[in-house]
Amino acid sequence: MTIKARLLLIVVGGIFLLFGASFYSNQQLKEANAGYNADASLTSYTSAWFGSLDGSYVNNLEVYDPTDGSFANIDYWDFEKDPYTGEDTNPLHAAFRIGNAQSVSNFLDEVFLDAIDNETITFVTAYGVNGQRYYCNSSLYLVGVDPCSEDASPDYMDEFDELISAVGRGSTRRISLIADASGELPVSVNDTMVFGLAMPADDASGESQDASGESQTVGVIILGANIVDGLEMFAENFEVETAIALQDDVITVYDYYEEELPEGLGGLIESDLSASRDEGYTYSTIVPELKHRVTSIPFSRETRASEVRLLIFDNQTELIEALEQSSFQNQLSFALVGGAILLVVFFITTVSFNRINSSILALEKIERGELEKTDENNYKLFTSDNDEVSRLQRSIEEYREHRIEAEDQRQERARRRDERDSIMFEKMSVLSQQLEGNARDMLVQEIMDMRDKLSSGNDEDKEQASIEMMSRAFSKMSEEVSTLIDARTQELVVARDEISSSIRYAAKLQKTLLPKSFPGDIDIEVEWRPRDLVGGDIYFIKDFPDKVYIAVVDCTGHGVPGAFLSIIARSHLDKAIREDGDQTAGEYLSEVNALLRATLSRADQSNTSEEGFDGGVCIYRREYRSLEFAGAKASLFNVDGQEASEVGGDRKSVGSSRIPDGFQYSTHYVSSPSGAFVMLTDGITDVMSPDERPVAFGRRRVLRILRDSKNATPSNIVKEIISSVDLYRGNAPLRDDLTLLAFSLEDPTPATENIAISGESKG
Amino acid sequence: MRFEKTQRTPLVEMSNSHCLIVGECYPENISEWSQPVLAALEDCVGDGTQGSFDVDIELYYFNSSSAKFLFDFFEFLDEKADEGISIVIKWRYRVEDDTMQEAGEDFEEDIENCTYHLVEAEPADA
Repeated sequence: MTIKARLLLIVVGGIFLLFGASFYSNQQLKEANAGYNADASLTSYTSAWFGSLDGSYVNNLEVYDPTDGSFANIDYWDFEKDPYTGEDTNPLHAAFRIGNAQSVSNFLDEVFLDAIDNETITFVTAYGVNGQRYYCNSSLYLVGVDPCSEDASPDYMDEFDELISAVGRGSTRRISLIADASGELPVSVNDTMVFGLAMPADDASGESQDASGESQTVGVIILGANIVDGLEMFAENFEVETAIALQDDVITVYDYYEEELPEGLGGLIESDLSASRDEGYTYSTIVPELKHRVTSIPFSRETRASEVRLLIFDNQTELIEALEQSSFQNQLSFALVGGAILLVVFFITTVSFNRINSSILALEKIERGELEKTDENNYKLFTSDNDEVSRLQRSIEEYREHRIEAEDQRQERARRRDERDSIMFEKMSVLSQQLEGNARDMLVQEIMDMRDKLSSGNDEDKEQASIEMMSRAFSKMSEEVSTLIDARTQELVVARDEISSSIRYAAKLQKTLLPKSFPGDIDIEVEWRPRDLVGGDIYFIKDFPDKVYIAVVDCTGHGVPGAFLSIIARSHLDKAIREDGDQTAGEYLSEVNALLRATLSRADQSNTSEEGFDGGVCIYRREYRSLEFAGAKASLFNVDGQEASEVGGDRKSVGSSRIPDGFQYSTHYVSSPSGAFVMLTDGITDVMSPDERPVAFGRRRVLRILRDSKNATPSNIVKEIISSVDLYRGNAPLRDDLTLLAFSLEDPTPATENIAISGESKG
Repeated sequence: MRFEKTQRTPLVEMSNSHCLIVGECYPENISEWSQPVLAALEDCVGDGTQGSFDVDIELYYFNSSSAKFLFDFFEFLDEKADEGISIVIKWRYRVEDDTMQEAGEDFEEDIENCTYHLVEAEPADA
């Protein structure tokens, strides 16, 4: 059962329950109302009827009461007064006592004839205490049996003794029923007053004077008034129909006049049978089917309802119809409202559940991956943008958008993946073409397998396949690359070996340019260390009979270019020597400079590099034992005993474009050369400490080593400086080639002077 | 503009008002390294005749090829100073580094228009 059906069922059930409750309470209200109306009817009809009955009794019968009656009548019944003669004995009593019916008749006619003629009294009878009737007179217009007729059977005669004893205590009022013994006429119902005539007992007995003074009843007079007139008047006044219910009979005024009962009255009278059975003899009830109210009350104050009752039938058509109308309207309006509610609920639930259903369908479509928007049923009635279903629809719409976005992203991913895959295929294909034989076939087969995998299956499988392919392609390619690298490395190793063997050969050649022998009279120690196998540093010793040239040169650059330049420099150092004449060291260096600049075409400025060299030259003249020095950015160090000194050269590199034309290097003379002399390239002084901000070894350290040297022979000096430099640089690389040359002039007559240095420019 | 330090070349930092050179300089092929640096210098100093330009140099070692670069470098600055730009060059060297001190003194001789200071930097760690 759907929620909608359940909801509708609950609503229908609720409406029916409400209807039942309303119906029940309506019934209760109606019953309470009827009960209240019944009580009101009973009270009002009883008092009205009794009032009418009593009024008639007081006016017509009670005026003859011996004690309560009118003054005019009281005297008729006084034993000690004769109403006509004024004697002190009433003849009526005596007439009763002696049974003189004629006298009684005469007397009573005198009293009642007018009233009977006027029909204020229906009948009057008088009896003696023995039950003998002395008088009876009745109206001409009575209904029912004549009370004075032979067939009359009045009920009071059935209990005459009780009547006699009752009248001794005063007059009594009673309803008397007089039946027709012949059964032809209906019982007549009469309001009656009964009173007795009494006289002293002694007078009554007529012989002994009894001292008791008790009075004795001598006769009974009964006055009756038929209630038919009163009943008619009552019916007329209240616009009702009436009936008299006896123990076994019901009489209406129509019976008395022998008329037909009006329509419906018979049915009403019959309805009393069942009503009185249910509710007792005093009741008031609505008989809806007959559209009347039936009220049953005791006929008078003196009668019991079980014996004689008055039935009053009043027409309640309007009331009943109004009630039925209202009840009908009530039910109708209930049905209408209930129906309307049901309809509205049905409509709302239908709309809501249709919308929910369409939301569910939309959601199911999204779940199936159908993301395009479908037509929504656009209910406007009973919906709002903020109700639950609208919110649900909005959420679903957002969800759909998210899914569309995700789908777009997925497609974008797939597209990129495809691009990536195709690039991968291309590369792999290219790779496969570079391979041969089995390797090629295997790779081609692998590519085809991958293609198959990538072109089938769902997104996730494809993604998986793509990743797998990527990793396989990657490993394949990296295999190939490492193979390639191995091959290249092999080539490089070969090339490097070739180059280094060339360079080793070049180094051999370069070494042949270095002096092979030293002059016998000069102790020379050299440390020549190119940074690479070959270098720009070179030292040069040219021995002539009279003089010796010693040069230490640092060509710009190092390695192979430095080596090339060193060959040029070597050749110019050779060429610039003038064997004859007094070429000074300065002149010599200036000549080398000139040659070198010519060679390197320093004139034109197109060569922007600064090829050339730094270096120093010493010339030792054996004849004079003199030593002269010229330097281009180089110094000559001398150590003699504990003294160390430095002779600086000019600060101009040989071959430099910065040298002005006609520049001459100065010649420095060492007048009495003694001790050891040291020449070096800046490879020594530029050895750097292995610091973050390194400091060069510097010339000052060289001087300090010389000064501190205990045994300043050339070989010792070279050893000390080189070990100091190596210690200084630690593991820092050499920046440059380095050359260190130390020499001492062997002196047959040891020097007595310290070295004196004088500088003289020959420029 | 910034040229990162390598084993054989110094760090060079250049802006419109300042140039800093720190490190060692002995590249295999000096012109490969020096040409972009000189071009950058030309860009930074520009053709203006106004303004000022500060140069800070702290070198620990340079080879003879690099000396040529330094000459060119200072020559350019000297020309610019002649055109009216106020250029201050600080050559920093450590107290014990006589090689760099002397190099600084050599360059000073060639410079006429720039303001040139030889500045003792704090000594290297003993």
